[in-house]
Parts: sequence; structure tokens; C-alpha cells
Amino acid sequence: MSFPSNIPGILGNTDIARFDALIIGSGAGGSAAAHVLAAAGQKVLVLEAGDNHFPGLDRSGLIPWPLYSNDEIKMSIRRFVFQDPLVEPRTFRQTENEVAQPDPDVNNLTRNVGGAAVISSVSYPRFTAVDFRMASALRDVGREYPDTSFADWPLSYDELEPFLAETDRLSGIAGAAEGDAADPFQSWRSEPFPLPPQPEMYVGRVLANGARQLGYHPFNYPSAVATRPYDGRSPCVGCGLCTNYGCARNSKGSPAVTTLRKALLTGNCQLRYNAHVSRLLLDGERRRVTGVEYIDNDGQLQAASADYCILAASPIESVRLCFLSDPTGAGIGNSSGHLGRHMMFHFQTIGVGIFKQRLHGERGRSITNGMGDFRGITEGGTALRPDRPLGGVIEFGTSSEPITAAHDSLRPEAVQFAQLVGVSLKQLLVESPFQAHIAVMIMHGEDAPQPTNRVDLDPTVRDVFGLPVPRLTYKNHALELDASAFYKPEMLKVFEAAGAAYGFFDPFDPAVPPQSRHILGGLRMGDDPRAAVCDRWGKFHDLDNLYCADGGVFVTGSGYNPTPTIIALALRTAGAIVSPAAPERMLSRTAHRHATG
Amino acid sequence: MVSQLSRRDVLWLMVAGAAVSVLPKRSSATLTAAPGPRFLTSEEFAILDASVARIVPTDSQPGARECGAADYIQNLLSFMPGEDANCDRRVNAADLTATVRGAQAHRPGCPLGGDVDGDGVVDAGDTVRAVAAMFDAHPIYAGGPFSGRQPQPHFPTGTTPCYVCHVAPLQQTSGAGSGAATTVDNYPPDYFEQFLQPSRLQALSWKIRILGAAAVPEVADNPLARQLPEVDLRRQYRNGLAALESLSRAQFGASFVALSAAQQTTILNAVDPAFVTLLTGHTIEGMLCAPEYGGNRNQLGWQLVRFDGDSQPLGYEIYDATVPGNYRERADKPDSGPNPDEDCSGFSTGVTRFLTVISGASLTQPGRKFPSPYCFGVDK
Repeated sequence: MSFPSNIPGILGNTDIARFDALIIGSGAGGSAAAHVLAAAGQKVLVLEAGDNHFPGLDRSGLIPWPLYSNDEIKMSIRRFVFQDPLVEPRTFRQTENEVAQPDPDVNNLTRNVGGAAVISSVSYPRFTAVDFRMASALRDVGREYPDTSFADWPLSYDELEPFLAETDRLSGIAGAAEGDAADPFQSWRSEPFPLPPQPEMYVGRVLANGARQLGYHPFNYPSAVATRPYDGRSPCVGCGLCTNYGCARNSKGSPAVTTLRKALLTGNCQLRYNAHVSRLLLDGERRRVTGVEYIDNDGQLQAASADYCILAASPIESVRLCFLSDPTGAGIGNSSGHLGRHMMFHFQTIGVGIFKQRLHGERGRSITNGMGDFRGITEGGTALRPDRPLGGVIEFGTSSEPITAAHDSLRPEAVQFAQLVGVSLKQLLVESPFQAHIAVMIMHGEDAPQPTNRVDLDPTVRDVFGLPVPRLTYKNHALELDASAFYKPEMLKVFEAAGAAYGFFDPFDPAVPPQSRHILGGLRMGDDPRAAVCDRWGKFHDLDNLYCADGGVFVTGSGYNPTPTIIALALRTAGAIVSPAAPERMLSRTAHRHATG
Repeated sequence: MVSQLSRRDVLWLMVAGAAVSVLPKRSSATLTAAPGPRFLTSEEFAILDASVARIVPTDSQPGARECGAADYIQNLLSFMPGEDANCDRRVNAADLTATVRGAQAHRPGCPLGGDVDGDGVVDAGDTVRAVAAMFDAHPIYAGGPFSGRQPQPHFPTGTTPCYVCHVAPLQQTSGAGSGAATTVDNYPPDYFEQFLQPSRLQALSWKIRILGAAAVPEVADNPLARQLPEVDLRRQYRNGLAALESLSRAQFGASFVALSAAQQTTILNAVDPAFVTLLTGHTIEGMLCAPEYGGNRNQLGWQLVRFDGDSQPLGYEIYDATVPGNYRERADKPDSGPNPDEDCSGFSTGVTRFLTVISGASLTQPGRKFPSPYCFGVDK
């Protein structure tokens, strides 16, 4: 066995002759599936389109330092890990009648080992029980929304809970299950959070103070940022540059340093990075995936094969691969006609509060506080409130990035106003109202599923590999726009109660693709093969050995950060592959607790 | 003298078979700071420097000129990737060693190996090429995780093991094995200056940014490679600076660098606003970047906006299992409450007017200026 890898471009065991599983994508879903399968003795090949910034991730002992850093030029300005529109463009239009235009903001996820969660805030709240039966819940309160495709999930919160609990343990989630710091709208938990709640940032405390005065219920935001040494990861030091940054000290429980690393350390897993899958290969009857073709870092076409295949490339890319892999253009797995449809993005309402005092958002973590009062659900998350629209959780955030904040001052409308009132750029830099004095409330509003919101292939635009690129057709529904309008005045009241000098909102422009990185749907799961692409286990209805383990299978989008649910579903899908009768038996409840390596 | 280390010295050290460890500690800083071929001519650079100084002028506090914003832009335009001969992602002195020894020549999957110039043999020519590449290269992506500007956190002796100190090799003067990390000599090396070799796609993308889409035939079917404002930077700067200069001579009969502040502003307002927007964005980057990129000289830009820069590995929260909540705060820079010196002075009249307009500006997205804003702390 040749392990760990000594070959550039490969992590893990380089000496595996044949693979049971082939996983496309090393993000939250793909890494979770790799962990379960490799632990069960399956030989697993993971192909990752992006580069690896965790050298030595496959070495046992303490986790080596990554190549990530508190470097705003690298991470946010030169977009070190983000999908690059110059080599991989994507196109956007609002309706079927338009010609889609290339747009750098479509699919604003990253390309790197561990996926987008590596650079996220790893804010990891759970979905609530009502999220899994949203169509019924809307009926219960007598609400109907024409043109939407709300449906109940083919599984309940209770069924998923053991996998959510395992997600908590694997990721090392910090939070409060009970008491004043807990979210009263969260659903039942079988166990408390494995780590104590996060130390609160000033801006989080200021906004929570305002919210509390108005009778709301701010809580300590569940987060996979370590609050004590955990599973070989070091406790967070609150360095400030968190969202958009890979953690320089592996305090974030991202997929790379949790599930993926565990998979690599079994010796049953090999990961090839800078490996861009271009299509799936099918057998003659088109019932089985036999392997894939991919383009390596030298631009050479390579092939790989395995007994079964798991798509985990993130929804837009997974859907694209299904279309690229079918010469007829119909898309594999698309007998239902639902492939690529019901795409969802959380509708973000971004409130901005400017305070007289410096809030120093460049210290501390990313999100330490939030509130669920605008989600529109009952305590315990079991039903919808009849008196409030379906909104989303609110994260209390701020700005920690001086260059990005200054670039915001350069938006054409801001420059116009600045000239109007005779303020120089230097004054704005020195007083930095949008940096040192800013508090932000982001509401992740539920986005109504619509069959017309879809991904397919663009007819003309090609990427650097010469492949057709994904085309997003997307238009907001009145549901999320109305909810946003309903809650905006309430958000201003929170800013005022918190002591802000000014409060306003980031303008919404329907001509710009959704900015949320919570990208869901397109490979919807359901029991009826005429209405869904995947079944309740994430297996494609139309194929015998193809699965989806990313956010593509989501039926509805909820109003909470989706990553823990993606991980839990992937754990369950992989568990069902190796233990169909009892997938939860694949969960190793304590093996990694308090581990030092 | 370390600062006088030249290419020839490095070459000699390498050829003599010296290990990397004999290089003085700060040697790689010297290497990356050494000037290689620069894209802008000295005349163009002078115009650039004058224009960034007009965009963020010097007054009682430093401006873009003192911060070295023009150096940042020159570095960007002069971008040339180094040669990562040993395929460890970092471009540093180890690549020279690898080249000289040819030790990595047959490493599978490392296409460069010791054969940096690609002529099929590992010989002295590769060493020359590797040295040149290292001196002439300018980083697009600085390395990580730490810059060495902040120390490792201090953990009280006997209470808490240092959970990060032992992950990567660090010099420790004493206490090794006892779990006590001293703050003396406890600064990590500057990994930022060991910049990263871009992947194939990143290299293609930066070719489009610096040289334009015409240089990369693979993106013929991607309109964005010709449309986005950040592409074809060399041509944009060459033409943009030439336009500043020719308009200055036409309108005021003198070079842009010789004009008064008011005249320079007139010229900047008269040329293509797209170029001025690009230049302004890069000026800010050049003031607030990590100094390894060539700007933010002596961290003047960070001081101007009262930003501490990269705070790892120290950070603002001191992990201490002996206190409630597991964390202590830094008294000078608290995380959870107001600054000790917070004066609540708010904003100048100009910025107040600006915020008033901005907050109520959009008719469709009304905001508010609140009647009696106040300044306060939040009790623990």
C-alpha cells in the first residue's frame, strides 16, 4: 500500500487497483459519503475539480497547516478558490424568452478540496421539523401559492435526526441546546451540542440587545468553529477574517479536516484534485454508470471507473454533468422531465446598520448571534405561524474586510453621492463607516420552489475545456419578495433599538442572479419517479448505480443554512449503500470524540 | 549582509550544495523584494505614482504614495509565475535545491521535476532558469498560513497545552515539551512571501487578466474574457497612462506629474472613467494589501484605517480552559465590547451628510436615519 500519497495531484492511498465508489466533488456531501464508505471498507475514488490547499491532509497525527491565510487580496480580491468566470463562465436569464447572458455571479461557489464550506462561516444550524413537510404545513394554515412546486420531503426530521446528530459530532458544532442562548424555534435534539457556545462578538451582542428589547429571541448561532480543542483541531482565536477565508489553523470544522480527512486516513480512499469531470460513461442499456472522463491539471483527458457513482459536485454542476453525459441532450436520469428544475437560492434580505461607535468586526468570529423570529414558524419548529409570512433565520454580521468595504464605497451610486456631498475617498477610508461602524442583518428567506427555475446547458457559451456551460433561468416568486417586504420595517426597528444611527437595505435587482451561496434543488428527491429525479435515498430513479449526495436533492429550501442537512443526507445515502436495511448502523457514535489525531 | 544577498550569491550557495537551512532566516524576503523585469517604464511609473497620489492624497496622514500603491500595481502588471520545481505548491528556495540536486526529477506526477527549462536533462541550465524565475516572479497568491507579524498566543504555563505550536516546526527558546509556549521568539516565519504556484486554470485566468483574451485561444467562446473590467490590464494601463499624459500636455502644456493638484484632478475627471475606476480600485488594494504584495509599505495603509492586518496566529480570543466560557479577551483589543478608548465622536460633517443621503437614497428600498442615535457599550 502506498499511503500517504507522495504524488502531486493525489491525496490518500495511491495504490488502489479497483474502486467500488466514485465520488464527484469533495465538498460537504461528497466528503461525508466518502467517510461512511471508506470506513465500511469500500474502496473510494474522489475526483475534485479544484486545487488542494491542505498539503499533507492524508498524513496521520496532527493536522498540518493549510495554505490559507488572513490575506484579503488572495482570498476575496483575487478570488483564490472561487469558480473563475474567465475560464468557467455560466449564463443567466430571468425567463425562457430571453437569451441568457454570461454572468460572473452565477454559481458563486468555490473549487477546492473540501468545497465551499471550507471558506464559509460554517454556520451550521439545523433545518426544523416543519421544513420536511412544508407543503402540508402551508395547507394547514390555508396558504396557496400558484406556480410553486412545494412538496413534502420523502423523509421526516425524525428520520434524519440520528444523521444530524452524527453531523454535529463529526463537524464539532458549537451551540446552545437550552437556556437563554438557545434558539426556541429549533426542533428537538437527541443530544446537546458537542461543543460549548461561541464567545460573542461585540456586533452580535449589540444587535441581540436590540432584538431582545423588542421581545425577540436572539440566540448563540450554531457553528462548526471549534470552541475548544476537538478531534485534532485547535480552538478558534477569533482572528476576524473568517467568511471567505479558509481557516489558517483548522479551527473550522470544514469537510476537508473532518469527514474527508477521516476517509483519507482509512487507507481506503484516494482523492485526485484538479480533476475536472467532463462526463459520466454509461453502459449500453443506459441503466448503469461505468465510469467517468475527466481533464487533469495538464489538460489531458483521463478516465476512471468504479462499481457505482455519487454526484456531489453542487447542484448546478451535478445537473450540468447529467446533461453533458447524454448525447441526445435530454439529460440522464431525466425521464421525469424534472432534471435541473425547482432550483432554489435563499432570498437574502440584507439590512445595514451604521453605528457611531466602532464595532470592530475584524475581531472575533464570523457569525456568533442571530434570531429565528422572522422565520415564521412556531416554537420547536413544528408548524407555521398563521400571523407571520415564511421568512428565514437572521444572521447578525458585520464587515471584517477593509478592501472589500472600501470597494463598496466605489459603487457608482455611492461615488455619485459622495461627490454630491463633497466627501473624499480618503475621508471614507479613514472614517470607514462601512467597515468599522457597520452591523449587518442577513435574512435567509425561504425561496419558493418553481419548476420554471431551472438549469440546463447554454447553447453557445463554452468554458476553457470547450464544454457547454450551465445556463440558469431564474425569477423570484412573490412569496419571498412579499416576506422580505413584510420583515424589512421590523429589521429597521431592531437596528434602531440596538442604537444604530442609520439603517437601510442592500437594493434588490432581479436582473442580477441570486447572490446566496445556498444553492439547492435541480435533482429533487421523491417517491414518485414521474415527479422526482432521485428517490428517498438519493439514488436516481432511472439508474441502478448513480446517486446524488449534494444539495441538489432538496425538495424545499428552508430558511436556515443548508450545509449540515447536506452532510446528514449524504451520510444517510452512503449508509444505505453499504447497509440498506439499517443505514444508521454505519454511524460510529464515539470513535472520533476527543481524538487527538 | 542578508540584505545584500544577490542572485550570484544564491546561485553559488546552491551550486556549492548548501542546504536551504544555511540561508539566513530572512533570505526569501530579500529574494522576493529584488526587482525583476518591470512592465511599466520609469516614465509610466511616475505618472502612475502621481495619479494614485491624487486619488488618495497625502495630508496630515499618509496617502497612496507613501503606502507604495504604485509598487503594488507595478507588481501586478509584472506578474510572472515562478517555477515550483519540487511540486510542493510553494515557490521558495527549496525549489532551487531540488533543481540543483535533481532530486525530484523522477518524481511521478511532478512534470517539472528538476527539469525546469524542459530540455529533457537536469543540468546547470535548469538552475539558472530556476533562480531567474524566482527573482523575477511576483506573487498573485501569497502563501500561508502566517505572515510572522503576529506571535503565537501565549498560554499560561501548566494550564493549557499549545494546540497549534507543535503542528509545524517553530523555534522555541525554552519550555519545549512542557506545554508552555513563550512569547519570546515565538513568531512563525513569513509564509506569505513563499508565494503559491497557480494551478493550470488559475494561470490561464491570470494570463487573460494581464495579457488579454487574445493570449488564450481556449476562451474564444467566453464573452466574459473580453468584457470584464479586470481583463487585459497591461493594455488598459499602458493606454490609460498615455491618455493621462497626452491630455495633460494638450490641456496644460506639461506632463501629468508636473501639474498642480487641481489640474491633475481635472485630467482624471476628463479621461475614460472606466480606467479611473480600475485605477482607484487598485490604489485601495495597494494601500490595504498584505505588504508582501508590494504595497501597504510599513503597514501605513492599515494604520490609516485602524486595521490590524492579518491577526493569525494570535487573534483576539485567548483560549484558556481555566476560565468560564474557555476564553479570555485581550484588554487592548476586546472582542465582545467597545474599545477602551472609544470616544463616540461619530462621523465628520461630510460623512454624516453622505450617510444621510445613502440611507434614504433609494426610493424603492427606503432606509432611515434614526432620531436619537446613541453610543454605548453592552454589559456583559
